[in-house]
Amino acid sequence: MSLTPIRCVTVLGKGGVGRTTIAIGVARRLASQGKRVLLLELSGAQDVSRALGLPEAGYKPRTLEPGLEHACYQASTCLADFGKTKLGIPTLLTQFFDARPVRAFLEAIPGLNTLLQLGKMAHDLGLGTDTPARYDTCVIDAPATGHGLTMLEAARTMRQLTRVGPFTELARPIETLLEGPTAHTIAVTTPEVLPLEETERLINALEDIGQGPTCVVLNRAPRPLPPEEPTWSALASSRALSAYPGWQRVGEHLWGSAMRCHEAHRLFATATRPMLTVSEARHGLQNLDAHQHVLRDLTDIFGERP
Amino acid sequence: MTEVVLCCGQGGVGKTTLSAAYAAGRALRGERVAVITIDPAKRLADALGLTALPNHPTTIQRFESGGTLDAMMLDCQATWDELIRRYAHDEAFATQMIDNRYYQAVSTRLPGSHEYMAIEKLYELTETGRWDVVVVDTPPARHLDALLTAPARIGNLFEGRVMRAWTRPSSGWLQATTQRAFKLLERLAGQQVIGEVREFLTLLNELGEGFRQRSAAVMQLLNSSQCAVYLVTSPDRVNAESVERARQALEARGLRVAGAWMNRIEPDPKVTAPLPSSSPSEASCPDGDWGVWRQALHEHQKTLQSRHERQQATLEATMRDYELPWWTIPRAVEAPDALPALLELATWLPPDRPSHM
Repeated sequence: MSLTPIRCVTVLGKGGVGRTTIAIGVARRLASQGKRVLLLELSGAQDVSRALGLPEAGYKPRTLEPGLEHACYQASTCLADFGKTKLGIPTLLTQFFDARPVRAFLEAIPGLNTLLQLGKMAHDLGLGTDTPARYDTCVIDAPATGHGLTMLEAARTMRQLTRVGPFTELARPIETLLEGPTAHTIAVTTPEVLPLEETERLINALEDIGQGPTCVVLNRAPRPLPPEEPTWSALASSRALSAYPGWQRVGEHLWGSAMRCHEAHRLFATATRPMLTVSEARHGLQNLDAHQHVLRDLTDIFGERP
Repeated sequence: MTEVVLCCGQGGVGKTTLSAAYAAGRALRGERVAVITIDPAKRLADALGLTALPNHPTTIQRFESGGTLDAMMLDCQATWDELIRRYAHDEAFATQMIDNRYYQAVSTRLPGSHEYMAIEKLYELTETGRWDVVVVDTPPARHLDALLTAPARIGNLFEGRVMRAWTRPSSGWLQATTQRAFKLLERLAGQQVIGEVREFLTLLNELGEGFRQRSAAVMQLLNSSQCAVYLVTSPDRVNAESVERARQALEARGLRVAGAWMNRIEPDPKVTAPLPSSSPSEASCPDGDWGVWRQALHEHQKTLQSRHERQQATLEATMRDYELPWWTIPRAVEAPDALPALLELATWLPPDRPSHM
């Protein structure tokens, strides 16, 4: 049992595998363990709000349930905030950030927007500041694979680009946060061919930057899951179902799906990296209550960690 | 003239596969087709049974009809470098630019950079006249606008006022606002960064005219009747507002939307009766094993049924008032991993050029 606190959890995966659903589940799970949790979206796509049937979220966090807040940080507000708190630039002056040459410059710095958002997050977690932490843990609903990786590397990119100055200062606590032992990544996948392929690449890429996933979540798995045994394989390939209209197709689909679940286990689960399985809901996921099955399936997500 | 088809949509809806299938289908019927993908997951390569594609189209298949299917995967960095070399007056200048540290960091990570390079490449391919149609698997833009404003956003960097402010900061007429803004920036980013950016932009400015002309030509191409957009989505990921919003955003930019491809449709998993509780003779297994298999099948049937019903409800609500043509494509049991599978998928897609052409 580790005593290292969980500071930051980044949920990554291919488009359409259910990252947002899992991020919501992970955040609720941590909150239910008594942590003060912030669920954060960086893309401005409002996925969490849509998944929960809520109006659009903004810069100011709102409470989803006890211990769990949700926000959608806009980079421009983060910049004004950064200028004000770190450099003492009065709010009135931050209007200069809207001047066209300045805007063109800020838009052209790779990863700056992400960095500002993550900087605000680090600040809320009490890093690099005297202000007490507002949250114990942040859960990030990251953008899809490639962009998610770019996000994790934003701090390093900035450090390569500039060695001194406030932006470098901004990058430092983020690197500490994202690359230290308190940071976790979670890779989400589904039992489908292309997501499995992409997840393999994602995990390799994460390991390359030293942030291999703490666990892999296999979303939308059939339950109960037929075991990968000769008896079952014989059953699945037999013509036993052909006499019953419609069932042959259901059987093929189930068996294909099950085989890919077992393949996912072989590919991704290791002694130190568990794989959790989340079953597919039989209802629309339009509010917090409808996400209950995810919370249940993620019970063991951080093992016995405090 | 070369026709252009853009496939637009979110990530994970099968856009790459469908654009390859569409291209393959038209090639099968006798046209010379090229498909460009910029998806980093190399899915098109998988679907076409290739492991890597160069930054220029390679012929994948020649059909009996005389049609050809060419495919390429966009290499963003290589395309930037090609552009720099094309517009630089001499090799030394191009090298200086490509060696600039800021250029290296920025070129592929600049917001909109991939989108812009996709459009650049598209323009390059259409100019040659080698193909009847070029199909583009656009980047997974959550906001389609990101793709369409990419030329403009890169163009903004070349805008006279912005460039002058950067490359000649001390010129007297410069507005006080801009001067103060620069002071703020130096405090924020540090002088070193500002210096490198200034060098980068000064170099880039030298290339400005070529870029500007190109940007304008690209927009003209996208706005011409030779260009059509298909919206690719799936009932799992869409609602009525998002389809309509996407369409309006595209039309506001002067693009012609030819219709929508609704992908991953779950067929009705209709069964007439529950399975028998004791093992049928064909199964030749103990009743106990059959019981577990039977239960798994029943549960799975309910899951598929519910997925099907939710999708149908979404489709009904989304497409009820949709005025353009739309196509439904069933969820494939296996992802297409070879040309025959792509051609089969193509039978679900429009066979001809979009109707407005």
